[in-house]
Amino acid sequence: MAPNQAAIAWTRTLLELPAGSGDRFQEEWKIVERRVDTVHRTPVSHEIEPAGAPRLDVPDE
Amino acid sequence: MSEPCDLSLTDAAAAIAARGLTPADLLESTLTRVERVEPRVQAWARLRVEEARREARRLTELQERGTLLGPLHGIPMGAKDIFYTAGTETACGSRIMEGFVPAFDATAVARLRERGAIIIGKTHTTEFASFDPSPARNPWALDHTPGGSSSGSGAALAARMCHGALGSQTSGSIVRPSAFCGTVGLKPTFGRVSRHGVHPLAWTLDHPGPMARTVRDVAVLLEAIAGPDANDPATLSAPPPPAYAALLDGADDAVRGIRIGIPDRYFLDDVDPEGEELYRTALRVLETLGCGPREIRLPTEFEAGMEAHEIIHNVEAAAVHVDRYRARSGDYGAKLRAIIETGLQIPAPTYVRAQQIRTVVIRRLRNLLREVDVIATPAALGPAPAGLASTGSPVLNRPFSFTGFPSITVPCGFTEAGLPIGLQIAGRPFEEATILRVAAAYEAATGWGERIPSL
Repeated sequence: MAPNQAAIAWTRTLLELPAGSGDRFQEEWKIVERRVDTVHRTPVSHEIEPAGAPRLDVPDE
Repeated sequence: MSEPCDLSLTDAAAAIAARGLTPADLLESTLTRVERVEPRVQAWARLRVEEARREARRLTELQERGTLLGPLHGIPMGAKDIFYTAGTETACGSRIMEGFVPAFDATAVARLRERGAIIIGKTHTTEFASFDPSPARNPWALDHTPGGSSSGSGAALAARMCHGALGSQTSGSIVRPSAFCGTVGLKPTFGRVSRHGVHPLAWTLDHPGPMARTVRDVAVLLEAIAGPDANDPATLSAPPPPAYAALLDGADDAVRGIRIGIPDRYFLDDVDPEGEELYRTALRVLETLGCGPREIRLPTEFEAGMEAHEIIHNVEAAAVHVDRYRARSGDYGAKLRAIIETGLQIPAPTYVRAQQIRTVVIRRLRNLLREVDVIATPAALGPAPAGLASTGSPVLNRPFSFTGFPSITVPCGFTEAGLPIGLQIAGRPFEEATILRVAAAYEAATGWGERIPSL
Protein backbone atom coordinates (compact mmCIF):
# COMPACT_ATOMS: atom_id res chain seq x y z
CA MET A 1 0.00 0.00 0.00
CA ALA A 2 1.43 3.39 -0.98
CA PRO A 3 1.46 6.21 1.58
CA ASN A 4 -1.69 8.31 1.51
CA GLN A 5 -0.54 11.44 -0.32
CA ALA A 6 -3.59 13.45 0.72
CA ALA A 7 -2.96 12.69 4.39
CA ILE A 8 0.72 13.53 4.02
CA ALA A 9 -0.09 16.84 2.36
CA TRP A 10 -2.63 17.64 5.07
CA THR A 11 -0.14 16.95 7.86
CA ARG A 12 2.50 18.99 6.02
CA THR A 13 0.18 21.96 5.80
CA LEU A 14 -1.17 21.60 9.33
CA LEU A 15 2.27 21.40 10.95
CA GLU A 16 3.91 23.78 8.46
CA LEU A 17 6.49 21.19 7.55
CA PRO A 18 9.15 21.72 4.88
CA ALA A 19 8.27 21.08 1.24
CA GLY A 20 8.71 17.44 0.36
CA SER A 21 8.36 16.31 3.96
CA GLY A 22 6.63 12.94 4.02
CA ASP A 23 7.34 12.27 0.33
CA ARG A 24 10.80 10.83 0.95
CA PHE A 25 12.11 7.61 2.49
CA GLN A 26 10.04 5.14 0.50
CA GLU A 27 11.91 2.13 1.93
CA GLU A 28 11.37 3.32 5.50
CA TRP A 29 7.68 3.79 4.76
CA LYS A 30 7.36 0.13 3.80
CA ILE A 31 8.81 -0.86 7.17
CA VAL A 32 6.57 1.56 9.06
CA GLU A 33 3.55 0.27 7.17
CA ARG A 34 4.36 -3.28 8.28
CA ARG A 35 4.72 -2.11 11.87
CA VAL A 36 1.43 -0.23 11.86
CA ASP A 37 -0.24 -3.31 10.42
CA THR A 38 1.30 -5.58 13.08
CA VAL A 39 0.26 -3.27 15.90
CA HIS A 40 -3.35 -3.21 14.73
CA ARG A 41 -3.52 -6.96 14.08
CA THR A 42 -2.39 -7.75 17.63
CA PRO A 43 -5.47 -8.32 19.77
CA VAL A 44 -5.60 -5.95 22.73
CA SER A 45 -8.52 -5.55 25.11
CA HIS A 46 -9.85 -2.02 25.55
CA GLU A 47 -9.35 -2.62 29.27
CA ILE A 48 -5.58 -2.63 28.80
CA GLU A 49 -4.35 0.80 29.75
CA PRO A 50 -1.55 2.18 27.56
CA ALA A 51 1.88 2.44 29.14
CA GLY A 52 2.82 6.04 29.77
CA ALA A 53 -0.31 6.91 31.77
CA PRO A 54 -0.21 10.26 33.60
CA ARG A 55 1.76 10.50 36.81
CA LEU A 56 -0.09 12.39 39.49
CA ASP A 57 2.83 12.66 41.87
CA VAL A 58 4.44 15.42 39.81
CA PRO A 59 5.63 18.25 42.06
CA ASP A 60 4.29 21.78 41.59
CA GLU A 61 6.26 23.99 39.25
CA MET B 1 54.02 -0.81 32.62
CA SER B 2 50.67 -0.11 34.21
CA GLU B 3 49.77 3.57 34.57
CA PRO B 4 47.15 5.14 36.88
CA CYS B 5 44.85 5.54 33.87
CA ASP B 6 44.82 1.72 33.54
CA LEU B 7 43.39 1.25 37.04
CA SER B 8 39.74 0.37 37.36
CA LEU B 9 37.53 3.09 38.79
CA THR B 10 37.28 1.16 42.07
CA ASP B 11 41.04 0.70 42.36
CA ALA B 12 41.74 4.33 41.48
CA ALA B 13 39.21 5.50 44.07
CA ALA B 14 40.75 3.21 46.68
CA ALA B 15 44.24 4.53 45.88
CA ILE B 16 43.03 8.11 46.26
CA ALA B 17 41.26 7.28 49.53
CA ALA B 18 44.48 5.69 50.84
CA ARG B 19 46.48 8.74 49.64
CA GLY B 20 48.54 6.51 47.39
CA LEU B 21 47.46 8.55 44.38
CA THR B 22 46.36 12.16 43.98
CA PRO B 23 43.50 13.35 41.78
CA ALA B 24 46.00 15.60 39.99
CA ASP B 25 48.32 12.68 39.15
CA LEU B 26 45.43 10.48 38.05
CA LEU B 27 44.13 13.23 35.79
CA GLU B 28 47.56 13.84 34.23
CA SER B 29 47.96 10.14 33.53
CA THR B 30 44.53 10.12 31.91
CA LEU B 31 45.21 13.25 29.84
CA THR B 32 48.51 11.81 28.65
CA ARG B 33 46.62 8.73 27.49
CA VAL B 34 44.03 10.94 25.79
CA GLU B 35 46.76 12.87 24.00
CA ARG B 36 48.27 9.63 22.74
CA VAL B 37 45.21 7.74 21.51
CA GLU B 38 42.39 10.25 20.96
CA PRO B 39 43.56 11.34 17.48
CA ARG B 40 42.88 7.77 16.33
CA VAL B 41 39.84 6.86 18.48
CA GLN B 42 37.96 10.20 18.32
CA ALA B 43 35.80 9.43 21.34
CA TRP B 44 35.43 13.02 22.54
CA ALA B 45 33.19 15.74 21.20
CA ARG B 46 35.06 18.19 23.44
CA LEU B 47 37.47 18.02 26.34
CA ARG B 48 37.54 20.27 29.42
CA VAL B 49 41.29 20.06 30.00
CA GLU B 50 41.90 23.31 31.87
CA GLU B 51 38.68 23.10 33.90
CA ALA B 52 39.49 19.48 34.78
CA ARG B 53 42.99 20.47 35.92
CA ARG B 54 41.53 23.19 38.14
CA GLU B 55 39.07 20.73 39.65
CA ALA B 56 41.82 18.14 40.15
CA ARG B 57 44.00 20.69 41.99
CA ARG B 58 41.08 21.56 44.28
CA LEU B 59 40.31 17.89 44.91
CA THR B 60 43.99 17.20 45.61
CA GLU B 61 44.06 19.99 48.19
CA LEU B 62 40.97 18.54 49.84
CA GLN B 63 42.57 15.10 49.84
CA GLU B 64 45.68 16.52 51.52
CA ARG B 65 43.45 17.94 54.25
CA GLY B 66 41.81 14.54 54.70
CA THR B 67 38.52 15.45 53.04
CA LEU B 68 37.00 13.28 50.31
CA LEU B 69 33.83 14.51 48.62
CA GLY B 70 32.64 10.96 48.07
CA PRO B 71 33.45 7.61 46.48
CA LEU B 72 34.32 9.27 43.15
CA HIS B 73 36.77 11.81 44.55
CA GLY B 74 39.11 12.76 41.70
CA ILE B 75 37.86 10.14 39.23
CA PRO B 76 38.07 11.28 35.56
CA MET B 77 34.81 10.63 33.75
CA GLY B 78 33.05 11.30 30.47
CA ALA B 79 29.45 12.31 29.84
CA LYS B 80 27.65 11.55 26.60
CA ASP B 81 27.05 14.80 24.79
CA ILE B 82 23.29 14.75 25.34
CA PHE B 83 23.78 15.20 29.12
CA TYR B 84 23.61 18.87 30.06
CA THR B 85 26.79 20.22 31.61
CA ALA B 86 26.63 23.70 33.13
CA GLY B 87 28.99 26.02 31.28
CA THR B 88 30.11 23.38 28.77
CA GLU B 89 28.66 23.08 25.28
CA THR B 90 26.19 20.25 24.82
CA ALA B 91 25.72 19.81 21.08
CA CYS B 92 24.00 16.38 21.02
CA GLY B 93 26.02 15.40 17.94
CA SER B 94 23.96 17.89 15.94
CA ARG B 95 24.59 21.03 13.95
CA ILE B 96 21.33 22.36 15.35
CA MET B 97 22.63 22.35 18.93
CA GLU B 98 26.08 23.78 18.14
CA GLY B 99 26.92 26.48 20.64
CA PHE B 100 24.26 25.44 23.16
CA VAL B 101 25.71 25.88 26.65
CA PRO B 102 23.34 24.68 29.38
CA ALA B 103 22.96 26.71 32.54
CA PHE B 104 22.64 23.61 34.69
CA ASP B 105 23.92 20.07 35.01
CA ALA B 106 21.80 17.03 34.25
CA THR B 107 20.86 15.39 37.53
CA ALA B 108 23.16 12.42 36.82
CA VAL B 109 26.08 14.76 36.07
CA ALA B 110 25.40 16.81 39.19
CA ARG B 111 25.33 13.68 41.35
CA LEU B 112 28.67 12.50 39.95
CA ARG B 113 30.23 15.90 40.64
CA GLU B 114 28.81 16.05 44.16
CA ARG B 115 30.61 12.77 44.83
CA GLY B 116 33.92 14.12 43.55
CA ALA B 117 34.01 13.03 39.92
CA ILE B 118 35.80 15.18 37.35
CA ILE B 119 33.94 15.41 34.04
CA ILE B 120 36.91 15.64 31.67
CA GLY B 121 34.78 16.00 28.58
CA LYS B 122 31.72 15.20 26.53
CA THR B 123 31.77 11.94 24.63
CA HIS B 124 30.56 11.62 21.07
CA THR B 125 26.96 10.60 20.47
CA THR B 126 25.15 9.76 17.30
CA GLU B 127 22.97 12.68 16.22
CA PHE B 128 20.51 13.32 19.06
CA ALA B 129 21.26 9.76 20.30
CA SER B 130 19.60 8.33 17.18
CA PHE B 131 21.32 6.45 14.34
CA ASP B 132 23.36 8.96 12.29
CA PRO B 133 26.91 8.06 13.38
CA SER B 134 29.56 10.16 15.11
CA PRO B 135 33.28 10.12 14.19
CA ALA B 136 34.08 7.75 17.10
CA ARG B 137 35.93 4.55 16.27
CA ASN B 138 36.23 1.18 17.94
CA PRO B 139 39.52 0.92 19.88
CA TRP B 140 39.69 -2.81 19.09
CA ALA B 141 39.61 -2.17 15.34
CA LEU B 142 39.64 1.44 14.22
CA ASP B 143 37.78 0.70 11.00
CA HIS B 144 34.84 -0.74 12.95
CA THR B 145 32.01 1.11 14.66
CA PRO B 146 32.11 1.39 18.45
CA GLY B 147 28.32 1.03 18.34
CA GLY B 148 25.87 3.70 19.30
CA SER B 149 24.40 5.88 20.36
CA SER B 150 26.74 6.16 23.38
CA SER B 151 29.62 5.67 20.93
CA GLY B 152 32.23 7.89 22.52
CA SER B 153 31.54 6.63 26.05
CA GLY B 154 32.19 3.04 25.00
CA ALA B 155 35.26 3.95 22.94
CA ALA B 156 36.77 6.22 25.61
CA LEU B 157 36.42 3.54 28.28
CA ALA B 158 37.93 0.78 26.16
CA ALA B 159 40.82 3.09 25.21
CA ARG B 160 41.49 3.89 28.91
CA MET B 161 40.69 7.58 28.41
CA CYS B 162 38.36 7.73 31.43
CA HIS B 163 37.33 5.48 34.32
CA GLY B 164 33.58 5.77 33.93
CA ALA B 165 31.06 7.40 31.66
CA LEU B 166 27.41 8.27 31.32
CA GLY B 167 25.39 6.81 28.48
CA SER B 168 21.75 6.58 27.58
CA GLN B 169 19.61 3.91 25.93
CA THR B 170 16.36 4.25 24.00
CA SER B 171 16.75 1.01 22.03
CA GLY B 172 20.24 -0.42 22.59
CA SER B 173 22.50 2.56 23.14
CA ILE B 174 24.24 1.58 26.38
CA VAL B 175 24.45 -2.18 26.06
CA ARG B 176 25.42 -2.34 22.37
CA PRO B 177 28.41 0.05 22.43
CA SER B 178 29.56 -1.49 25.70
CA ALA B 179 29.48 -4.96 24.12
CA PHE B 180 31.20 -3.79 20.93
CA CYS B 181 33.94 -2.07 22.95
CA GLY B 182 34.53 -4.89 25.46
CA THR B 183 33.33 -2.86 28.45
CA VAL B 184 30.45 -3.05 30.92
CA GLY B 185 27.25 -1.05 30.54
CA LEU B 186 24.09 -1.11 32.61
CA LYS B 187 20.72 0.11 31.42
CA PRO B 188 18.78 0.71 34.64
CA THR B 189 15.09 0.16 35.18
CA PHE B 190 12.98 3.02 33.79
CA GLY B 191 12.69 5.48 36.67
CA ARG B 192 15.84 4.35 38.45
CA VAL B 193 18.02 7.17 37.08
CA SER B 194 16.71 10.67 36.40
CA ARG B 195 16.31 11.84 32.81
CA HIS B 196 16.39 15.48 33.90
CA GLY B 197 18.84 17.43 31.76
CA VAL B 198 19.30 14.61 29.26
CA HIS B 199 18.16 15.68 25.80
CA PRO B 200 15.24 13.36 24.95
CA LEU B 201 15.06 11.04 21.98
CA ALA B 202 11.78 9.35 22.97
CA TRP B 203 10.55 10.28 26.45
CA THR B 204 8.95 6.98 27.47
CA LEU B 205 11.87 4.87 26.21
CA ASP B 206 14.90 6.90 27.33
CA HIS B 207 17.11 5.42 30.06
CA PRO B 208 20.28 7.18 31.32
CA GLY B 209 22.80 4.80 32.82
CA PRO B 210 26.40 4.05 33.79
CA MET B 211 29.20 2.62 31.66
CA ALA B 212 32.60 1.50 32.97
CA ARG B 213 35.29 -1.16 32.63
CA THR B 214 34.19 -3.54 35.38
CA VAL B 215 30.91 -4.64 36.92
CA ARG B 216 31.86 -3.23 40.31
CA ASP B 217 32.70 0.13 38.72
CA VAL B 218 29.27 0.21 37.12
CA ALA B 219 27.70 -0.61 40.50
CA VAL B 220 29.56 2.29 42.11
CA LEU B 221 28.37 4.66 39.41
CA LEU B 222 24.78 3.43 39.54
CA GLU B 223 24.77 3.97 43.28
CA ALA B 224 25.94 7.55 42.70
CA ILE B 225 23.34 8.52 40.11
CA ALA B 226 20.27 6.46 41.09
CA GLY B 227 17.37 7.63 43.19
CA PRO B 228 14.44 10.01 43.26
CA ASP B 229 14.63 13.39 41.57
CA ALA B 230 11.78 15.88 41.77
CA ASN B 231 12.60 16.95 38.23
CA ASP B 232 11.85 13.49 36.80
CA PRO B 233 8.49 12.16 38.00
CA ALA B 234 9.34 8.66 36.77
CA THR B 235 11.88 8.37 39.58
CA LEU B 236 9.52 9.34 42.40
CA SER B 237 7.59 6.11 42.75
CA ALA B 238 10.66 3.86 42.43
CA PRO B 239 11.82 1.97 45.52
CA PRO B 240 14.94 3.46 47.11
CA PRO B 241 18.14 2.15 45.51
CA PRO B 242 20.30 -0.14 47.66
CA ALA B 243 24.06 0.14 48.13
CA TYR B 244 24.83 -1.73 44.91
CA ALA B 245 28.60 -2.03 45.30
CA ALA B 246 28.37 -3.38 48.86
CA LEU B 247 25.96 -6.05 47.65
CA LEU B 248 28.77 -7.42 45.49
CA ASP B 249 30.89 -8.09 48.58
CA GLY B 250 29.03 -11.32 49.36
CA ALA B 251 30.34 -14.86 49.44
CA ASP B 252 31.87 -16.52 46.38
CA ASP B 253 28.76 -18.60 45.87
CA ALA B 254 26.51 -15.52 45.73
CA VAL B 255 24.87 -16.66 42.51
CA ARG B 256 24.35 -20.31 43.46
CA GLY B 257 20.76 -21.24 42.77
CA ILE B 258 20.04 -18.25 40.52
CA ARG B 259 17.67 -19.37 37.77
CA ILE B 260 18.79 -18.20 34.33
CA GLY B 261 16.10 -17.92 31.67
CA ILE B 262 17.10 -18.83 28.13
CA PRO B 263 14.52 -17.46 25.66
CA ASP B 264 13.05 -20.00 23.27
CA ARG B 265 13.36 -17.71 20.23
CA TYR B 266 14.15 -14.21 18.89
CA PHE B 267 17.44 -13.65 20.72
CA LEU B 268 19.43 -16.15 18.64
CA ASP B 269 17.56 -15.76 15.35
CA ASP B 270 20.20 -13.66 13.58
CA VAL B 271 23.22 -14.05 15.84
CA ASP B 272 26.44 -14.92 14.01
CA PRO B 273 27.98 -18.36 14.73
CA GLU B 274 30.98 -17.06 16.66
CA GLY B 275 28.73 -14.94 18.86
CA GLU B 276 26.38 -17.85 19.48
CA GLU B 277 29.25 -20.16 20.41
CA LEU B 278 30.62 -17.63 22.92
CA TYR B 279 27.12 -17.15 24.35
CA ARG B 280 26.66 -20.89 24.85
CA THR B 281 30.07 -21.12 26.47
CA ALA B 282 29.07 -18.28 28.82
CA LEU B 283 25.95 -20.19 29.83
CA ARG B 284 28.09 -23.20 30.68
CA VAL B 285 30.30 -20.98 32.86
CA LEU B 286 27.22 -19.69 34.69
CA GLU B 287 26.16 -23.28 35.24
CA THR B 288 29.53 -24.10 36.83
CA LEU B 289 28.93 -21.16 39.18
CA GLY B 290 25.77 -22.81 40.43
CA CYS B 291 23.23 -21.02 38.24
CA GLY B 292 20.45 -23.08 36.73
CA PRO B 293 19.77 -22.30 33.07
CA ARG B 294 16.29 -23.22 31.83
CA GLU B 295 14.34 -22.43 28.70
CA ILE B 296 11.60 -19.82 28.92
CA ARG B 297 8.84 -19.30 26.40
CA LEU B 298 8.53 -15.69 25.32
CA PRO B 299 4.94 -14.37 25.16
CA THR B 300 3.12 -14.56 21.84
CA GLU B 301 2.90 -10.76 21.76
CA PHE B 302 6.69 -10.39 22.04
CA GLU B 303 7.47 -9.75 18.36
CA ALA B 304 4.53 -7.37 18.01
CA GLY B 305 5.99 -5.57 21.00
CA MET B 306 9.21 -5.00 19.12
CA GLU B 307 7.26 -3.41 16.26
CA ALA B 308 5.31 -1.36 18.82
CA HIS B 309 8.63 -0.13 20.23
CA GLU B 310 9.56 1.29 16.85
CA ILE B 311 6.18 2.98 16.46
CA ILE B 312 6.56 4.65 19.87
CA HIS B 313 10.17 5.55 19.09
CA ASN B 314 9.36 7.24 15.77
CA VAL B 315 6.29 9.10 17.04
CA GLU B 316 7.97 10.42 20.18
CA ALA B 317 11.14 11.39 18.29
CA ALA B 318 8.98 13.24 15.76
CA ALA B 319 7.21 15.06 18.58
CA VAL B 320 10.54 16.00 20.19
CA HIS B 321 11.89 17.46 16.96
CA VAL B 322 8.93 18.81 15.00
CA ASP B 323 9.47 22.48 15.87
CA ARG B 324 13.15 22.45 14.99
CA TYR B 325 12.49 20.30 11.95
CA ARG B 326 10.09 22.89 10.59
CA ALA B 327 12.90 25.44 10.51
CA ARG B 328 16.02 23.36 9.90
CA SER B 329 15.17 20.02 8.32
CA GLY B 330 18.27 20.23 6.14
CA ASP B 331 20.50 20.17 9.20
CA TYR B 332 19.30 16.72 10.25
CA GLY B 333 21.01 13.50 9.19
CA ALA B 334 19.21 11.15 6.82
CA LYS B 335 18.42 8.49 9.44
CA LEU B 336 16.84 10.86 11.92
CA ARG B 337 14.98 12.66 9.11
CA ALA B 338 13.41 9.35 8.10
CA ILE B 339 12.40 8.68 11.72
CA ILE B 340 10.87 12.15 12.08
CA GLU B 341 9.06 12.16 8.75
CA THR B 342 7.55 8.72 9.22
CA GLY B 343 6.82 9.41 12.87
CA LEU B 344 4.81 12.49 11.93
CA GLN B 345 2.52 10.38 9.75
CA ILE B 346 1.81 7.48 12.10
CA PRO B 347 -1.85 7.70 13.22
CA ALA B 348 -2.42 8.60 16.86
CA PRO B 349 -4.50 5.46 17.59
CA THR B 350 -1.56 3.36 16.37
CA TYR B 351 0.70 5.04 18.91
CA VAL B 352 -1.78 4.43 21.72
CA ARG B 353 -2.24 0.82 20.70
CA ALA B 354 1.53 0.38 20.65
CA GLN B 355 1.58 1.62 24.25
CA GLN B 356 -1.17 -0.88 25.10
CA ILE B 357 0.90 -3.71 23.62
CA ARG B 358 3.73 -2.45 25.77
CA THR B 359 1.56 -2.91 28.87
CA VAL B 360 0.77 -6.46 27.77
CA VAL B 361 4.41 -7.39 27.13
CA ILE B 362 5.51 -5.85 30.44
CA ARG B 363 2.95 -8.01 32.29
CA ARG B 364 3.92 -11.16 30.42
CA LEU B 365 7.63 -10.62 30.93
CA ARG B 366 7.09 -9.91 34.61
CA ASN B 367 5.25 -13.23 34.87
CA LEU B 368 8.13 -14.97 33.11
CA LEU B 369 10.53 -13.48 35.62
CA ARG B 370 8.69 -15.34 38.36
CA GLU B 371 9.86 -18.61 36.78
CA VAL B 372 13.45 -17.38 36.55
CA ASP B 373 15.56 -14.72 38.25
CA VAL B 374 17.29 -13.28 35.20
CA ILE B 375 17.32 -13.70 31.42
CA ALA B 376 20.64 -14.24 29.62
CA THR B 377 21.08 -13.51 25.92
CA PRO B 378 23.80 -12.34 23.54
CA ALA B 379 24.27 -8.58 23.86
CA ALA B 380 24.44 -8.07 20.08
CA LEU B 381 24.06 -10.00 16.85
CA GLY B 382 27.84 -10.37 16.70
CA PRO B 383 30.96 -8.24 17.08
CA ALA B 384 31.11 -4.58 16.04
CA PRO B 385 30.39 -4.43 12.30
CA ALA B 386 33.06 -3.13 9.94
CA GLY B 387 32.73 0.46 8.77
CA LEU B 388 31.54 3.63 10.44
CA ALA B 389 28.35 4.31 8.49
CA SER B 390 26.20 2.14 10.78
CA THR B 391 26.36 1.65 14.55
CA GLY B 392 24.97 -1.90 14.38
CA SER B 393 21.63 -3.33 15.38
CA PRO B 394 19.91 -2.81 18.74
CA VAL B 395 17.37 -5.60 18.29
CA LEU B 396 18.64 -7.72 21.19
CA ASN B 397 18.61 -4.78 23.63
CA ARG B 398 15.30 -3.28 22.52
CA PRO B 399 13.09 -5.69 24.52
CA PHE B 400 14.43 -4.31 27.79
CA SER B 401 14.18 -0.68 26.68
CA PHE B 402 10.60 -1.36 25.61
CA THR B 403 9.65 -2.97 28.92
CA GLY B 404 11.89 -0.76 31.05
CA PHE B 405 13.46 -3.79 32.76
CA PRO B 406 17.16 -3.51 33.74
CA SER B 407 19.89 -5.09 31.62
CA ILE B 408 23.67 -5.24 31.68
CA THR B 409 26.40 -6.45 29.36
CA VAL B 410 29.69 -8.00 30.44
CA PRO B 411 32.46 -9.16 28.07
CA CYS B 412 32.20 -12.90 27.33
CA GLY B 413 34.98 -13.46 24.83
CA PHE B 414 36.62 -12.38 21.62
CA THR B 415 36.18 -13.40 18.00
CA GLU B 416 39.03 -14.86 15.94
CA ALA B 417 39.55 -11.34 14.61
CA GLY B 418 40.02 -10.04 18.16
CA LEU B 419 36.72 -8.20 18.55
CA PRO B 420 34.88 -8.38 21.90
CA ILE B 421 31.49 -10.03 22.41
CA GLY B 422 29.10 -9.28 25.27
CA LEU B 423 26.72 -11.33 27.39
CA GLN B 424 23.45 -9.51 28.17
CA ILE B 425 21.73 -10.23 31.48
CA ALA B 426 18.29 -8.74 32.18
CA GLY B 427 16.23 -8.85 35.34
CA ARG B 428 13.09 -7.81 37.16
CA PRO B 429 12.20 -4.12 37.52
CA PHE B 430 14.37 -2.40 40.13
CA GLU B 431 16.39 -5.57 40.73
CA GLU B 432 19.62 -4.20 39.30
CA ALA B 433 21.40 -5.81 42.25
CA THR B 434 20.61 -9.29 40.92
CA ILE B 435 21.93 -8.69 37.40
CA LEU B 436 25.00 -7.01 38.87
CA ARG B 437 25.65 -10.06 41.05
CA VAL B 438 25.38 -12.48 38.15
CA ALA B 439 27.53 -10.28 35.91
CA ALA B 440 30.15 -9.86 38.65
CA ALA B 441 30.34 -13.60 39.28
CA TYR B 442 30.70 -14.27 35.56
CA GLU B 443 33.35 -11.55 35.22
CA ALA B 444 35.34 -12.93 38.16
CA ALA B 445 35.22 -16.43 36.72
CA THR B 446 36.38 -15.42 33.25
CA GLY B 447 38.24 -12.09 33.28
CA TRP B 448 37.52 -11.22 29.66
CA GLY B 449 37.30 -7.53 30.54
CA GLU B 450 40.95 -7.41 31.55
CA ARG B 451 42.17 -7.36 27.96
CA ILE B 452 43.29 -3.97 26.66
CA PRO B 453 43.16 -2.94 22.99
CA SER B 454 46.63 -2.44 21.49
CA LEU B 455 46.30 1.12 20.31
